[in-house]
Amino acid sequence: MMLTAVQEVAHEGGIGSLPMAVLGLTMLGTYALIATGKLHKVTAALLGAIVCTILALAFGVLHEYDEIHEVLAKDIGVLGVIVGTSILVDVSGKSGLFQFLAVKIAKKAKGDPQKLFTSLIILTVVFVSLLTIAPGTLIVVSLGLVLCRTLKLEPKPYLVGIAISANSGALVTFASGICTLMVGSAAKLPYMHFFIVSTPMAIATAVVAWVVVKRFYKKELTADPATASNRADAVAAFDEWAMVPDRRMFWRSAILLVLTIIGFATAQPLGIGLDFVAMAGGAAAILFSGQNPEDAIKKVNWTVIVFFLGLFVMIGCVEHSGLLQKAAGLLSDISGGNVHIATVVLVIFTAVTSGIMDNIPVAATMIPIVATMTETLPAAPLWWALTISANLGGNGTPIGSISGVIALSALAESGGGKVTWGEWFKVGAVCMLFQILVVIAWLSMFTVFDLYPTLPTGN
Amino acid sequence: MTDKDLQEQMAQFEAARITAPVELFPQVVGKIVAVHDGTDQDATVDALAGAMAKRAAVELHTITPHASSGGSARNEDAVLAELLLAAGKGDVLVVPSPFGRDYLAEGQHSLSTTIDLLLAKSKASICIVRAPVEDAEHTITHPLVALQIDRHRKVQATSLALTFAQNGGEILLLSTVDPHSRLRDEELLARNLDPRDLSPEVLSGLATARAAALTAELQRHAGDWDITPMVRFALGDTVELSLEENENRLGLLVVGRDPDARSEEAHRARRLVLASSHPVLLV
Repeated sequence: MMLTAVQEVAHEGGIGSLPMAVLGLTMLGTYALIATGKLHKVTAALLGAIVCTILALAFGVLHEYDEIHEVLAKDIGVLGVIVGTSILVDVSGKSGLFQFLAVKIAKKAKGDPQKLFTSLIILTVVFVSLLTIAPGTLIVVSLGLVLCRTLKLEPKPYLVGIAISANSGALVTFASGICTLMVGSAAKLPYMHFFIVSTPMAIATAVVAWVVVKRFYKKELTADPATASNRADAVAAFDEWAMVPDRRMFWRSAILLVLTIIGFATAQPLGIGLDFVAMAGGAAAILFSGQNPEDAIKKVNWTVIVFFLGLFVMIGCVEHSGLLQKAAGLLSDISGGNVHIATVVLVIFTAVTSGIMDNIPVAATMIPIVATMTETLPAAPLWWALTISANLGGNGTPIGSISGVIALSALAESGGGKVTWGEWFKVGAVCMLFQILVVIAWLSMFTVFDLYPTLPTGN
Repeated sequence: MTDKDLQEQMAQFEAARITAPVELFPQVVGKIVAVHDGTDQDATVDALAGAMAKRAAVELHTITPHASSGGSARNEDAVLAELLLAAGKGDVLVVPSPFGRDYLAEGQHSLSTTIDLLLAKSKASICIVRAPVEDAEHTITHPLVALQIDRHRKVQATSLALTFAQNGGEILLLSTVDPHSRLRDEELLARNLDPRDLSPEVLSGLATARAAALTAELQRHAGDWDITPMVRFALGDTVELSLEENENRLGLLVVGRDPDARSEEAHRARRLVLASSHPVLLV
């Protein structure tokens, strides 16, 4: 779509078409570097930002350098939420709270491979929804590997299941996933609306993942009934209380997490930003845990933040050139002004591109495009389509989402074998296909029956 | 998210697999015996012994060995005999060290012969008093149990620490792994660890594993005993780490005691007492 827009611009010629074409090609080149892994994504994004800034100033797309700061100011809230929640998540992680819950829930499976698989899928969705995708996935992947090692089970089905269902977990709340957060912030989607539109999709698509992965790895998820009692004993030896180094911190973390979630839910009615709630949660976590602030701050995902800074600057320059508005016009033309078609096209396009490359740049690029489309089409279906498909699209390839990268590299590191692209297409891509069908049906139902909760004015 | 994060998280989960469960109860104490030696340390001995007797709800006996004023071998034998008679198994003997000598002048160089022999021969638990303590009640209700001083007696040490910390106190378990000392093969095998691949993350997991059974037991029953249990894991020399951790905490150091003075464990315990200005309870 972007390439078509660039080609169209080049074909049209005229004033302003050269800057659009050059900036568009620079952005596409940067994305190609990210997708192929030729450069680290942070280096590529920063390089793209520098080149785009110089070009935008040279072409007069940006009249003065300060406009870059205006571009960044729009997204500062997203960065605040990431910093605040990272600190809170690190402190909660050290309190043993999530590890305690993980062991307690996993023990319920009593070593039965199928029940264990179900437990790990549920844990993944819950933990990702509370901790965001990377830390949530890491905890469940680690537990899965240790349990498989103890029970002498093949870890691959469990880790593939975790990788895929993590992207469903990212849909539960406004702050569960980076893409969710980016789109939610840009569209000013109210926190509580997620429970109506997005959370049911998180559950439904996790069920799809559960069914597809379980069927694909049916043989590996079957164990000899004769060894059932041995497996039950082996799992019973795990003691969740051994994961709790400090009981006071354990309870304080639980209370702080609950308060932060309540804060997120009530932030918009109270007229405060989610970044304020996240930063307050992070500050309280440092204050009440007695943990060294330096250690907690080190755990903030600075890679994502610097990556964002590069992306936001680069996309801001391209947006100023008018190219993204042109791309939005193209998408609107394809749909013929029909919101059903626009939603379906948007879901498919976003899901496919998110599978090919990191879903964060896809979401970041699509936000201004969708914002333009909402000038002529109803906003709610398009924003929800983008939110959901950017997350689930990551299931299309083994490198499409951070959960896939974490789970598959952990699998290989632990000697659990490799998942080839071919194998992933048979399970992950098939899963994504079914998930996208469910999403399209769900969003269509909301459009047809006019079920979308009303967005605040200005969307 | 790095490989190290994954390794660390896996090591923590691995540590939660309890291979040797323990049952923990506050140890029943027979009596507390405060030993005077006629030096400035007697006041500290009294304060600590009194607080211990109150917390354990047992009788407090105070003795002043008759021969403590002299320094000859015969006198030391007599003092030792008196001390051995005063407290037996299940009792706690609170003694100053160096015995009969000035702590400030000689304490950092010697425990004194009487104390060395007492450590080797007594069946009682021995609380060795060093520098004066400001708040005896705080000291004994905030014990720090250094688990790796003598790993064979860590359960007994924790049980006695629990006796003094229960009903409102705070107990800290310090579990350490010294990367420079050779790790026992059976310990590595039990945790599926490759001796060629012991990263700091894996060693931290091992420190967690070493305390896992006690941690689980303490945390599970913390409400019953009304204690605040805390566990810290650290890499390095266990004696240095114990002293460092207790520097601001100002608690009673509690460790296991191997009566064989030639053992590695006894050597570590002795090194800890000698370097500590806080009282050390050897169980």
